[in-house]
Amino acid sequence: MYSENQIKDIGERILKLSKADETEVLIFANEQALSRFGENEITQNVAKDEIGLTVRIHHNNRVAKVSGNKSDDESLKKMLDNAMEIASLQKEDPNLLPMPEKQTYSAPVNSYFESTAKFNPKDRALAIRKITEMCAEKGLEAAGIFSNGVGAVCIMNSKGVYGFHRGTTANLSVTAIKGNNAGWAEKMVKDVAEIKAEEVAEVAIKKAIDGQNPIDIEPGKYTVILEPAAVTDFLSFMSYLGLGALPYIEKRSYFSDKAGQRVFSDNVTIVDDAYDKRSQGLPFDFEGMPRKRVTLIENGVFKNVVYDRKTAKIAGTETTGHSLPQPNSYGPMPMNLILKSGDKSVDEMIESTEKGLLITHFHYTNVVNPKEMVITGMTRDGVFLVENGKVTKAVKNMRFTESIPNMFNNIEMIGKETILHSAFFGGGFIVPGLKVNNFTFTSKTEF
Amino acid sequence: MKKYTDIALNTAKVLGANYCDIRIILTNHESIVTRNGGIGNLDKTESIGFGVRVIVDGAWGFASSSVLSKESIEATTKKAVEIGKASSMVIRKRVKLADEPVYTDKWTTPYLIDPFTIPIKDKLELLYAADEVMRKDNRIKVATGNMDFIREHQWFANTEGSFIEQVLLRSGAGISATAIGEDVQIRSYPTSFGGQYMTLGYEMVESLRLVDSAERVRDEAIALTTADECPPGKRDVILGTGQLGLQIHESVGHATELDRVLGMEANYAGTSFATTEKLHKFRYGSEIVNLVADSTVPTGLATIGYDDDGVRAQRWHIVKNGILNGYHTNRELAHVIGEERSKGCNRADGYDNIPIIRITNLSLMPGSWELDDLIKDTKDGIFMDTNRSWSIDQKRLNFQFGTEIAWEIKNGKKTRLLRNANYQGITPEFWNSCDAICNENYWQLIGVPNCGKGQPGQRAEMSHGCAPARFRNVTVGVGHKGKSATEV
Repeated sequence: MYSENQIKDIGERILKLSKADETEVLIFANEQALSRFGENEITQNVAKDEIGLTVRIHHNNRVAKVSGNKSDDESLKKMLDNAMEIASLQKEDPNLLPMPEKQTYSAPVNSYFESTAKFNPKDRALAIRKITEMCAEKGLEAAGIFSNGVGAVCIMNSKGVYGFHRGTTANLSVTAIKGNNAGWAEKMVKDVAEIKAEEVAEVAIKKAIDGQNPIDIEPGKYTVILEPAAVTDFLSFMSYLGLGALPYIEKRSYFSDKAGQRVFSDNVTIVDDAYDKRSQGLPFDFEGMPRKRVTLIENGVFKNVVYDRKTAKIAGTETTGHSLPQPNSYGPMPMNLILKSGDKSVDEMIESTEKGLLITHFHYTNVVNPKEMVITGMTRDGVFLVENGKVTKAVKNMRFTESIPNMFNNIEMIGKETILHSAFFGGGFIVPGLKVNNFTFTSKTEF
Repeated sequence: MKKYTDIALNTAKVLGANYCDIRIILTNHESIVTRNGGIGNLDKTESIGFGVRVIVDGAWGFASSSVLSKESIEATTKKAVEIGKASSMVIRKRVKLADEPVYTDKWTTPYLIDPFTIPIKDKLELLYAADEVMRKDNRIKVATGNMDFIREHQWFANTEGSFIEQVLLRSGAGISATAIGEDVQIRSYPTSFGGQYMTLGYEMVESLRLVDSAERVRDEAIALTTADECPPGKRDVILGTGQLGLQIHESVGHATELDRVLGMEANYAGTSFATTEKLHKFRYGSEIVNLVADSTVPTGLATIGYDDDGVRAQRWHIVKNGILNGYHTNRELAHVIGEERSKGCNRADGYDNIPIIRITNLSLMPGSWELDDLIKDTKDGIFMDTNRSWSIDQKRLNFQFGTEIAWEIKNGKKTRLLRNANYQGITPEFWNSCDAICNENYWQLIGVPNCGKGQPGQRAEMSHGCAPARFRNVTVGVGHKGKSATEV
């Protein structure tokens, strides 16, 4: 793994070699490993150690970007020559924002754990062996992954910006399968020591066993208890369809022209907060601006979207520090969403339900209508009928087609336990489970 | 490069590996996105690296690095062997590779104009010209254009003696317009999500005539904002090639990847209903449905000389006269269905990923209909084209797809424009309802440059050839709250 000094040295050499008016260097370094298993054996086992350099220059009011993974001076000179050539072939951009000056960043939350960085293939294999043995004992097939890695991001520019952040992530995901039906559980953490492989496997195994002989029910509107993993799809799609400034300004967002209006149930509060101790914790964005904590939805009222410098200028406001690498056509995006948790356990949600469905997670969710934020997806790996406060039967999978605002407007209860779920561009969302009324299923499948 | 590949192969042998291959890949990528008359993205990337794959004690190990040197190759090979030894702690069967001849070869995708020799200024001028046409009407709030050029120079060597050099050149381009009125509607050309992609050079971009199509794209996007919603119900559906390609991809391509059929993708992408006992027996579609996998078809995105197992490209039926006839396979799994040789479908995303089974170019063979005759023959239907949304269950049965544009067909005539069209079905029922396919004059390859699969996630590209086809009695207009047909 590249050290901070090695990464900084590459960045400084680029800035020194550059003849452009302004130069920005964005470096990603990753050392990642993943063991994959299926049919109760390891089927793939991989590791990568790599670095990626992106150089953005501003020269004579023109922008150019070049990328590569070679860090010797000759390769860096070639990259910079390419950038100057690209810039020279463009028309002037009168709206080009100068790169930011030196910034100060708040102390980040702890995101690096040596235990995760040092976790090795044998450690993963031992955990997987235990999981496969537990599944085999019950006559189940195990599939899944156990991954761990270190990622570093560094932003520097010729006007004094310097930000460096390093974090670790580990993820154990287990699917236990019997015949046509499966159970699933996952644990994603920053510190691998928090992963208890047997506990994750037990949840998946129980769901697989309880999920046998599922009954057929008709699609329609149901009360649903969405486990945290099922809620993540709704947050993820909302984050890029509606909560960035670009679609908001262009009136492509559901939230356009709704500032200050009640849009969700009054028990819904959503913030973007890189400084929550559970978060991935990157304290700056990809143009080097400090990340701010932003309240997006407060007690059901729409408050704000996130901005980068470009969209902030258009909107006459300040950046919130949510830029993606510039230039880009997506605009800014929240990367550390937190749906405020409640005080109910999943068991309490089940006990309070006369008739409903318990959903483990969704599969292949996608957008039906971007402005209305209607999405569709399939249930998978554990759908259960809840009757008179108890889980009674397994149910065959169904397709939901539902608008995100409808879902967030029908929340009866919010869970107290949360999970960390990976988000776009290395972010992570903190998500509780939900009990939701009038949730729409539009079709069913055969298993 | 042979001096580098030899280092990995020799190191692996010394460390006790039974098999080793190394892929060194030099990638050049140029990505241009214009947005509302300015730069959306403009990035030139050059990267190099290598991945070493070993079989040790009957199990796979893989490691990669972006530093191409003797020391790095030795260290990375050693890491791959260590990983393989860890894998061997949890295996039930030892990896056995299907036989394949040894090759020493150089293979290149054919092209006329190297896109990397065309000045960026010319490319931007073309995209800006299309952008200007699209934004002539102020109801178009977002106009985009994009071009992508990727050249992968690969060197593959394995301990069986193969040394294969390949140069794969892929080009893509497209435009889109987003109109905002009563609704937000997007229209794209030639297809959605970045346009058309092929293994060709800049001649493909020139042949698209993006500027000439910009006016139609603009006008259709604007018209869609006030069009009637696709009414819910059961209708006959004619799918244009811009949607049918995706239908093939999701409901046949992924369903016949042998690794997911066998459960190796169960934790992520899912498994498949098309299980191996159904081979040569299961009626996948009607008798006119013939789906052919072909890694040799000219201009296909998955057209290669050899896959990343070092297996030569092939052509075979996946569905023959409606019956399931084959799978996408690799050297590791071919034997599971009793085949002695891999179909050559093992491909990796770049140097830093292990090869996995990927869909190759998979195409619906043309039928005999003229499109006008097919429309005339349809009493109550909807013509849908250009994919906008897609979702399918983990066994590839229940799907729901949306399209950018649709027209109602009434008594043999294409009538009113419809927005937010979508349709839903169950894969075998749907393909069995196919009763008409247009002829070869309408057949075209649709490129899919962004197919995701695997953990860690890998991207692959492939093409799907098809001509417009009709499917009977399909559920349409799912989940829409707009006007129903009776309210118009």
